[in-house]
Amino acid sequence: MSDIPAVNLEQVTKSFGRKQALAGLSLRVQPGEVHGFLGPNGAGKSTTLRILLGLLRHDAGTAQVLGKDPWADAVELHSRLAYVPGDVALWPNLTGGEAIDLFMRLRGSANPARRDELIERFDLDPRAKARTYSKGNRQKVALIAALASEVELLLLDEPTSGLDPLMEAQFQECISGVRQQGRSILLSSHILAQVEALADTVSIIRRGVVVESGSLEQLRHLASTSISLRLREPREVIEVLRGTPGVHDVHSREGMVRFSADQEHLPQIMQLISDWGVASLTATPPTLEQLLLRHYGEPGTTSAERK
Amino acid sequence: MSSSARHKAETTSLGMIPYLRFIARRDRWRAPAWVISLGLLALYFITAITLLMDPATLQSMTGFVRNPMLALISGPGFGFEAITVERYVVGVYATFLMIGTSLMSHTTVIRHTRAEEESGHAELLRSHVIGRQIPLLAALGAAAALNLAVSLCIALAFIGSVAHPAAVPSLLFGLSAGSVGLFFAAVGALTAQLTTSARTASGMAGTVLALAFILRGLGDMSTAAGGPVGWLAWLSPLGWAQRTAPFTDDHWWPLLLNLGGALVLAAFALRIQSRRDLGAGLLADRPGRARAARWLATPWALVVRLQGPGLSWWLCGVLLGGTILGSLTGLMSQSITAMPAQIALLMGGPGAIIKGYVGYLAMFFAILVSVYSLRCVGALRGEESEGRLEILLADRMGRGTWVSAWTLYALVASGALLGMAGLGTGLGASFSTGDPTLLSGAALGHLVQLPALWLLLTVGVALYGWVPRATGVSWILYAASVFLALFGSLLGLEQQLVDNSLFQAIGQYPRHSPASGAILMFSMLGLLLWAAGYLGFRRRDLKAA
Ligand SMILES: Nc1ncnc2c1ncn2[C@@H]1O[C@H](COP(=O)(O)OP(=O)(O)OP(=O)(O)O)[C@@H](O)[C@H]1O
Ligand SMILES: [Mg+2]
Repeated sequence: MSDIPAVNLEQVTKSFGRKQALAGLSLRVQPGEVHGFLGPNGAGKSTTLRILLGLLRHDAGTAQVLGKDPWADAVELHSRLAYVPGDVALWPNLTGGEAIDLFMRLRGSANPARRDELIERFDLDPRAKARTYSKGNRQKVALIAALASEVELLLLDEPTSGLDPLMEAQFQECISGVRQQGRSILLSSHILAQVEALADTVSIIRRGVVVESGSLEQLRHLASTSISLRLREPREVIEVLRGTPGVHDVHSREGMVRFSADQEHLPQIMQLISDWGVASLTATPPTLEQLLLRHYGEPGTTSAERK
Repeated sequence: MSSSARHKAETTSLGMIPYLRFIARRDRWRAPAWVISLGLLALYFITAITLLMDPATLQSMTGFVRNPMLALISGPGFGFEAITVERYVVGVYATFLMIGTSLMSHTTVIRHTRAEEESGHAELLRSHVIGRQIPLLAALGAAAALNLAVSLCIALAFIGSVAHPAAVPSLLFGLSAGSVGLFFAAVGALTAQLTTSARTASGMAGTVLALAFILRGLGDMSTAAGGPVGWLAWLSPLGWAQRTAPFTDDHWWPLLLNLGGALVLAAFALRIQSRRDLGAGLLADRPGRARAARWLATPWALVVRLQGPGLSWWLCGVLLGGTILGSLTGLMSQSITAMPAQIALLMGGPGAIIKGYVGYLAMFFAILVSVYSLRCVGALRGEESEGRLEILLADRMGRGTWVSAWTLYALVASGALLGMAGLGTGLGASFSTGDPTLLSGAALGHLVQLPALWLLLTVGVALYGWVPRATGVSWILYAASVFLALFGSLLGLEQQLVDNSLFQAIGQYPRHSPASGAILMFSMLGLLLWAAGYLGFRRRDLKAA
């Protein structure tokens, strides 16, 4: 595969009237990677995906999908990508099977054998009218049509928000398969376990800008590690810790001192502690959830401001 | 009543008032629009007849109104031997008001019951403190209130008109129209229970209305012709309501037939409602095809797949309507001398009544079929606003293709409907006059109106391309054109002004030769508007649901 990025956004802005949905968003999805796209409600994830599909036109900045302009070359691009929206609306009196076939044929890369296999796998009744489908079943229709197409890029907007855990597992298996074939995926999701299991790279978006982007490893590195320690003899360490750079949230209870330490200051902090006569120490790397809450909670801060 | 039973009764009626308020809020434009239009229609009928007909003309019309063909369309007609303006209006035009109240009522009930379940809104509502029966009861209550309002409005329109009829028979006339509405509100309540789709429920209620119309028509025609099946009219709620015979016999008891029928049907609907699941119907959805038909592979095919079933009903409807109206041609030419001069002139005057009437029908069907054309444009917008377009456009389908597929479908379907109406009119006309050339004349006369429909629908397409929320503005152009075409010359407006109507500009073939200038201009303008819509839609953001 070439090294043209599957998705390349630079300083993209988009406003709806006076409401700014994207405020200079930059995002790059490398070919062959699964890119997790996280952020609180209303952050601009769906807006970004709709721009990548040429459904919305961005106001400023550059946007490229598979090396092309998503607005001008929309039709040509759409034979090379597939999309699953978070809320799938179907025609009430068409059956699921008819809708799947229609989507696949309109995309122009139909693989009937794969379609049947996926219908089996996701346990969908293709003969039922879409009117009678549950939310999860409507989503399956779009997922099957997308996964059965042989495309280079999948754009998934909370694709499993209606699926049960069993189907979620099927979905993860399918995505792993897709990744092995070297296709690229941009996966917007609120399910952290899913992103942790699937994504090579993660971008966190907040208020229309990407505030953090990198591999999960790198992101962990940016965040702080939780440390709890017990000393052999009681000592007045609280104030010392509070004065140390890179240390936050210090508190002690029943002889146990807890704090969080920034990854970059960890060597100095360890040095400091080692003189205190430590009885026991546990260090927990940040979970994705902690990473996110850092961004979701604080109003209007970006990683640049925090440093 | 035991305390637990009382408790139960209280909880089942919980939420009635808020739900009624909710309906009032949702229908704050729709409900007054129905009431006022039906009231105005009644006012128009009685005013026009009073102004157009002096007693002598009225007298000479008795042959026309007592004809079996007219009985088929209008009703039994009471008191025609001593005809008055009121008796004439009641005899000839009551049906139209009754059809109006029926449509108003069943759509209102279905809109607040089945449509809410289908869209999923009902689910959220019902999770609140609201009895299971409330939406249906409230919808029926709202429909009853609407019908009462329409009845009073019709009565007031009569009483306030230049004809100055007596108040009590006027009220009876209003209530007879309202009683049919009430009956069909209950029909809507019942069909809403039977099927899971609001559209199918409306279709079923519409079929009941058509059946009621046909039974009454056949019965009354038979009576007028001295035939044996007059009793058929007694099987129809329209027939019951007309047997009140306002301004002649003034019977009140037939109102009870409709009221009783409505109560029985409503009770039945409530019973089904209380037993069935939310969202479920009595007639379960049959499983459909597991695979799409081979031809369902393009945007064009999708439009046909979505709109085709509705179109086939329309085709049958206009063929039937055309045949019935067309077969009145012979009667029209016989009674032309008795007609008021103004009306006769509208249809070509005594010398040219046959061609004039056929041409007039062409305009009439152009007006009717336009509703279909504009609804196609509305459906195009619905695909976007209901969120289905997003995933389609994410496929390899161009935006231009999508708009063009709908535009061309609307054009072809409108043409087919006009052709079918023309065929029906032509068949009826040639049969009733024995002149076979009327067949091709009528067909052509209908088809030449197509450029007017094309222009109208492309106005909608252009609006959709640029300002999708304003798509409906094309209905204003439609309403203005209809008003000018139907009432312009009757109201004595300047011919120049009347000719601005889309439905007048082309002329009524075979009476007039078609205005090639207008045809050319409408076609070109339509092409431009289509191009404008096409370009607009390609450059704007998709409006997400
Ligand atoms: N068509 C529109 N008109 C006006 N505002 C819009 C429109 N579409 C999106 N927005 C606004 O833009 C912002 C970003 O919305 P978007 O749907 O992209 O969020 P999201 O990250 O997908 O959120 P969620 O996680 O809830 O799906 C929101 O504040 C939303 O209200
Ligand atoms: Mg979203």
